[in-house]
Amino acid sequence: MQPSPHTISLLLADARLPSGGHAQSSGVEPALLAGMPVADVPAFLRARARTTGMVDAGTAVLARHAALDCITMAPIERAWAARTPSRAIREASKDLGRGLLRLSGRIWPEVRSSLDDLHESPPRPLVLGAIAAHAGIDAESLVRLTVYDDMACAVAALLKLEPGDPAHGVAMVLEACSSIEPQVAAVSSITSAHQIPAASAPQSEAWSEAHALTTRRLFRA
Amino acid sequence: MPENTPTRALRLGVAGPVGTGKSSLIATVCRSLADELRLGVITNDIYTDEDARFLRSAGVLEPERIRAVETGACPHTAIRDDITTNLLAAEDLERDFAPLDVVLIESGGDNLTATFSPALVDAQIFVLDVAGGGDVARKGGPGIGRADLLVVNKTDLAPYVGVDVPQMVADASVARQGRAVLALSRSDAASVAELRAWVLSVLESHRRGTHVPQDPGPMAPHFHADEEQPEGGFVHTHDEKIGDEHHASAPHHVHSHSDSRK
Repeated sequence: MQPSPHTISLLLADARLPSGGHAQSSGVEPALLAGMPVADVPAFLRARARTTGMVDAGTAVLARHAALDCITMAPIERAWAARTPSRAIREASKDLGRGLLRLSGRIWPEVRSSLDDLHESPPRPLVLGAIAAHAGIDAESLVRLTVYDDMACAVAALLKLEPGDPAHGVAMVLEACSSIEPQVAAVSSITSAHQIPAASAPQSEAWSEAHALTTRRLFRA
Repeated sequence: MPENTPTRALRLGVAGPVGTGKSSLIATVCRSLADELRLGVITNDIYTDEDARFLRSAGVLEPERIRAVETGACPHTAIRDDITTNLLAAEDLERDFAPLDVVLIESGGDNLTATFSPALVDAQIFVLDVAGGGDVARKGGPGIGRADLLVVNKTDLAPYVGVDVPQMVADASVARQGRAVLALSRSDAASVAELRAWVLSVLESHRRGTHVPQDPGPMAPHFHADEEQPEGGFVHTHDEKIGDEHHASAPHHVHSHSDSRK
């Protein structure tokens, strides 16, 4: 019996999935270290969801298509990199992708073949897209999963970084995820690389670059 | 179990509470073995890359062979529940400096419950120190109870903190049901030589394929010390046979060095 695609979605969204996510903060630690007030975290999350979140979601959708059609993902990775100007953020995404891919090797060995033409550390959205293709996850679920995973990661990190009510964190995740609902249909239906949203977040990227150079940090990025 | 590849080193974990001397123990191992073995080190720091910098500055290995990974404020998770970051770092180190003989992985200082997953390390050392209190060894826990080696560190401090090292070692031996315990001080050459011999013996059994990674597990044997029945009469022996077949060839000497204070 194959697990339901819905179950796989839940699995991939679970922060306890052993793929290295616990060492990431989705840009929250870089922002707080740079002096962003904690009160701004909800706005930070909404901004991240509609910028890097949409870039990643669109990339994942295309990666899913490429895996289903057995075509190369290299142009998709280039399109993603062009929309992710911060090296620190690209490296963090590649760490996450490599961790996911390593886990996939045990659970979905065929996922690797979809990413064969890429480096050993493909970015997170490409690996998510390849897993979605092999596990039967639809494009809209993939978009929501890509954003949710990033937001949940941010809030889990926030609770380690700042005192706060964990329930408030849950509310923040839901608020940020629902803020991109109007874009879900459009992003999940893209079919070529030039349609990947190109919204970047220069301040957050600068914070991430600075964070990568500090020696006092809890999280990778 | 860790995947075996042609360049696969022995992966040796070093865990234990904060401040018990994990970094120092790794520096000691490197110092005593760097001439004959190809070594790499991964540190799991909590707030900084302090441990990696300490080891680099100790000059015991090329700085490039010492890497730090972030643990997301959760050192326990990084060595047990989600070992991805450490596995990737170990694989990278083994690839970049192939072939390596031993990769030492230092956990972030945590509490008594933190032990390495057998999917990450082949063997693990749990480190306590006399300054943490002579009763800690009696408290048990998976690391104290079932790590491949329990080190009671900083024995040179025992007179200053009022700890009876032979008693602490005896308590540990009981809690461990006879598994190896080493009373260590980096200023005591005999104890350092024993540590070195232990690492070499584990490496040897790893290479022969006879070493099987143990999992200390989340549950531990629990031992209640009965002060009505003092064990001050504990007699250590250098020929003690330990009921752990995987380490039958390891030197399982249980030493006390209370008589070698410098």
